[in-house]
Amino acid sequence: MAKPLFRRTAVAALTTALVAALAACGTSSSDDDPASGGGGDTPDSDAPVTISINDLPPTEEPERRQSMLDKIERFEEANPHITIEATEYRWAADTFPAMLAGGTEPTVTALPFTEVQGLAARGQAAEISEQLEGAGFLEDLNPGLMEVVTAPDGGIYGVPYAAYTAGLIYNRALFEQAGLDPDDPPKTWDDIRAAARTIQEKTGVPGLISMTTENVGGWTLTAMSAAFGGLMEEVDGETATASFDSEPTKQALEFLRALRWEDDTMGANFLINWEDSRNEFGAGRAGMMIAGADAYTDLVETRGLPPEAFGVAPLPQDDDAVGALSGGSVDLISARATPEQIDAALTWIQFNRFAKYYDEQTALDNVDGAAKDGRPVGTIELPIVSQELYDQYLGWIEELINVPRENAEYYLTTIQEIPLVSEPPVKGQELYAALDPVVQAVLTREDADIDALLAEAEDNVNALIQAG
Amino acid sequence: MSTSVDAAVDHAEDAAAGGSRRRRPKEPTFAGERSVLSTNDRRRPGVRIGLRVLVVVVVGGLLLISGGPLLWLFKSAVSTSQDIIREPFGLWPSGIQWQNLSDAWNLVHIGRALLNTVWIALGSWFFGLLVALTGGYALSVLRPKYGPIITGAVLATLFVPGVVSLVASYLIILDVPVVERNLINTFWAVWLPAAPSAFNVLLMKRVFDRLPRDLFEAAKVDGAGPYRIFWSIVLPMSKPIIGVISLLTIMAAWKEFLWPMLVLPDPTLQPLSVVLPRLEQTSEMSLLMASLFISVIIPVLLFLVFQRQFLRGAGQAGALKG
Amino acid sequence: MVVIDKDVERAARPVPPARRRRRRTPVTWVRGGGLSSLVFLLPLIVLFALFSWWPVLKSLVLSFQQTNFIGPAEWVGWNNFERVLADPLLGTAAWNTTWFTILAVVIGYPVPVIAAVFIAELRKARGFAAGLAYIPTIIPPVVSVLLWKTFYRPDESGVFNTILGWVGLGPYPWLQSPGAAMPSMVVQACWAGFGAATIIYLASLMSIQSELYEAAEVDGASIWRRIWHVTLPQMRGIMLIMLLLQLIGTFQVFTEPFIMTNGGPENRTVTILMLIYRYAFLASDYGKATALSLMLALALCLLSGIYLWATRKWSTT
Repeated sequence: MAKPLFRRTAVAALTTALVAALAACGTSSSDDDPASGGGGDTPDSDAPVTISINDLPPTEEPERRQSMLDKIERFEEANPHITIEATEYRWAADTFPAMLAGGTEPTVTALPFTEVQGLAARGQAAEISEQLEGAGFLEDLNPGLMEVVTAPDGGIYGVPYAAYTAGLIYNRALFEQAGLDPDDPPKTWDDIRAAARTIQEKTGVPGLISMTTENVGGWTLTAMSAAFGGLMEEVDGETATASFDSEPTKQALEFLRALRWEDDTMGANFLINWEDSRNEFGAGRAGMMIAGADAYTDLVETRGLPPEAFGVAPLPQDDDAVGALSGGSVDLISARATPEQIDAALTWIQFNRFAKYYDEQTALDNVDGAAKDGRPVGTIELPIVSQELYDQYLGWIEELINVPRENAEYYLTTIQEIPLVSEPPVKGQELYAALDPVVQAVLTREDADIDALLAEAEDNVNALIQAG
Repeated sequence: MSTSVDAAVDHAEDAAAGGSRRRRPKEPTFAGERSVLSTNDRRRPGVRIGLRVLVVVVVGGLLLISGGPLLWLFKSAVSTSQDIIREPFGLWPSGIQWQNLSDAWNLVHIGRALLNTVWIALGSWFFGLLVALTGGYALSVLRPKYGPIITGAVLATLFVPGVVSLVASYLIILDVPVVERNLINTFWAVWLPAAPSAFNVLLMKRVFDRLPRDLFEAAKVDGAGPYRIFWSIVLPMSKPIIGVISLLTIMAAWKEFLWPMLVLPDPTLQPLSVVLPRLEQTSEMSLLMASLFISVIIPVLLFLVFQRQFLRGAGQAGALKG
Repeated sequence: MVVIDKDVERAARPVPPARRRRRRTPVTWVRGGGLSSLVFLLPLIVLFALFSWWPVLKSLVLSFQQTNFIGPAEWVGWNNFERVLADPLLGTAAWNTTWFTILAVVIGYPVPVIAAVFIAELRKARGFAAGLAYIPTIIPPVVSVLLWKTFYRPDESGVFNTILGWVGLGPYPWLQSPGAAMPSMVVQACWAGFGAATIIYLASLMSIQSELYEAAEVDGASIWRRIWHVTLPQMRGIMLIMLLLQLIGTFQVFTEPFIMTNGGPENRTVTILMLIYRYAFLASDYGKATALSLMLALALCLLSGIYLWATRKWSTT
């Protein structure tokens, strides 16, 4: 009975517009259409269920915290049988395993794309394909992103709710200072190289910095390789083979080598993790970097980059490019959750993440607090839902948008045409870890033998995949 | 290694007891009767010049090596980030930035981390001493029949490298057997695992072993029970060794990094050693330097005040290790 | 252990009425001090059991299991060990750790001995010099590592590069260079550790009986010969133990590479303990992590055994 129960509660949670959306998709299921019951009528049979969620803003951020608590209150009013326990826990690679081992992980945890496949493979995430079928928004989700949460066995292990592609982040102020046109970002890899040289020459600031440690070196190389036409892993059924010892990856590394050793436009520090790169860029000490195109909020809000200095372009797509590496965030449901909790969690996810695409008032309510506090509204992202729904949503909140989206026009107009590439699904983190030293080698040793490095790393990753 | 423990205890006791055989009371730190050079040698001109050079080289070298980095840190703690990065040896080209220190205190909550560190050190000290004192007393003075087995089991842990229990201890903290509690994000998770130190227990036991047993017999005849003997006779008589163990335990707790990082993921509970590496990632250089400064100034001041005790303790630590 | 169990059992049993009092009743046990012994031993037994004995046993168990903490743990035989051995990084990490140890012995081991011998010859400045030498030890390791990481900044205006720039050298990449990263790290570790060792040697030097020197002097031994024939032999015991402790410590090095380079560049500073950390706390593969821990521990035990066996002739005690 889990399914109908969920359906009704979901309906109760949603506004009229959403009811329509739900009803439309409800027909795909063999059950009776629950939308006919209308909003707000929750049957008595709905047993009380409690779920915990993460990412409640800490007390240091009272406004954000309050708006989250208000949201939870609205949800609980609409779904009286569901109780939400909000925790301040923020996902981190080194703390989440402890929560899993101690059995204290929230029912719903927001975490990056990168984590999903590993958690699914270890049986630490709930398989939710069936329940998601009826959740009312599956049809509208960007299919290119569903790959991220789909395990090699076909099961779905999470709900992506925000996405971006790997892009070229550039400092518009430095571009101007160097005499480059910030509205005409580099469109080929040669352009990037030339721009890096100009910036270095004119401003003395490193033209391009590249992340190299804590697996983000491997991530960067994966993103570049896709733009040159390479996939890091070949998946055949449930077996995967590392395949990055390839021409595109070599081209990507050759590109870095040229900037480092021929042009010397990459600065002096080559052990850079994610934080470092953001700090350097935020402080105006880097002209460009390859990073998630969603970097705006982090760079501007927490690292002091002036909003108008933020520029983003897609990574140049080579002739045989396979697409843009996607990244983003997923709501993952604990493997310990009961079917009732999974239903409740999906109801919450629907309310928390997706209702804004179906209902104008919800959309406005969602960004109202941010707009008042001067936090970014309308950041550059990859639409998680269909383009129509997304455009409609942008229309609703247009008045409140405070992010200079026009500065990302090139990215926004081209990104729809570029196919999405998912991260390597099997042992992805291990694969990245094996590529970090390759990137480091190219940047720290002039005589680094790219062929040998890649061949060795590929053997290593395949050994790890086989060892299981 | 057990024989060396015995030997170590001999050393340590001599030292801790105020040094009867080889040290005179109230002598300056590391005063020996003589060293390689005799008074005669010191009169020879070659040796005298050599010694002068030695003084300059040794003291000068140590000043540079030990003091230099600290002085640089003190300078940088009140410099702007730009100055630290561009001109590491410029003497405040942009003026002295006292507000770095208050920023570190207020913005990145170094005060809170400092308090956590103190709290962690105190708790570790208490539990470490509790186990060593009561355990040592029971094994040495009360001597239950099963005592030797416990002593053996304690001794055995000396031979197991710490790395063996790292992961398992962590999982135990996540779900402590019997009481079934998750101690993550509580100070207990740091205090309790630090307490069972085989070395401290065996050391205490050996020290108590040397206390004259007649004393206990006499006290018993006078009607003193085991608690009374412990409190009124054993404790007062072992003050020096308690001091040594206290110093060592507190210093060890102050320096711990990996374990508190694992069991205290909550930033509001983390000690300095865990907070600082994160600051390096998230804060600008001036704030980091100011925070580092605040983190060293207390141990350094304590050291300057209690220098003799520190050095004695350290010398004895060596004797213990030997 | 059997004995303990019996006693615990007895302690737990309710005290029977007085008329049953015979030679070995709980009452006589309590009267004989059995209970107070147990009370005094309780903190030791509980804490050692929970956090010292049990973790070792649990490690043994975990190394043959796989668990995701959702379902029950699964026995996997030697699979964890096999997977550790199949990790291509294992060889790298083992070599790096050994390299760190070798460098630390070469760079870090003789310095405190020499420093202690020299400081011992000072008269007025001895205490001052000893205090100075101890300062790096006072600084918490994390602070020291972060401070040195700033010193090693690779650009021209890094602290060390500025100093070398004065004499026309550099700039050097230090921690950024695959070859220099490990030696740079070792220098920092030696700086942080030399004070404690110096003080220990100094204490041992000061306890050498003066008769030995006097006898040597009477025999006409020069200053250097006295150092060689009296000082060093007298310090032999402590020096041997210190070397072993240093070896055991450096084989478990973690903080320095973790904070300074996180294993880079090119995995040249990944150590065994970092690998264990990554297995357990990043990949949640506790079975693999404990398997590697046990392998490292076994290696250390073998090393200690061989070392003690090989040096047994030189050990004075």
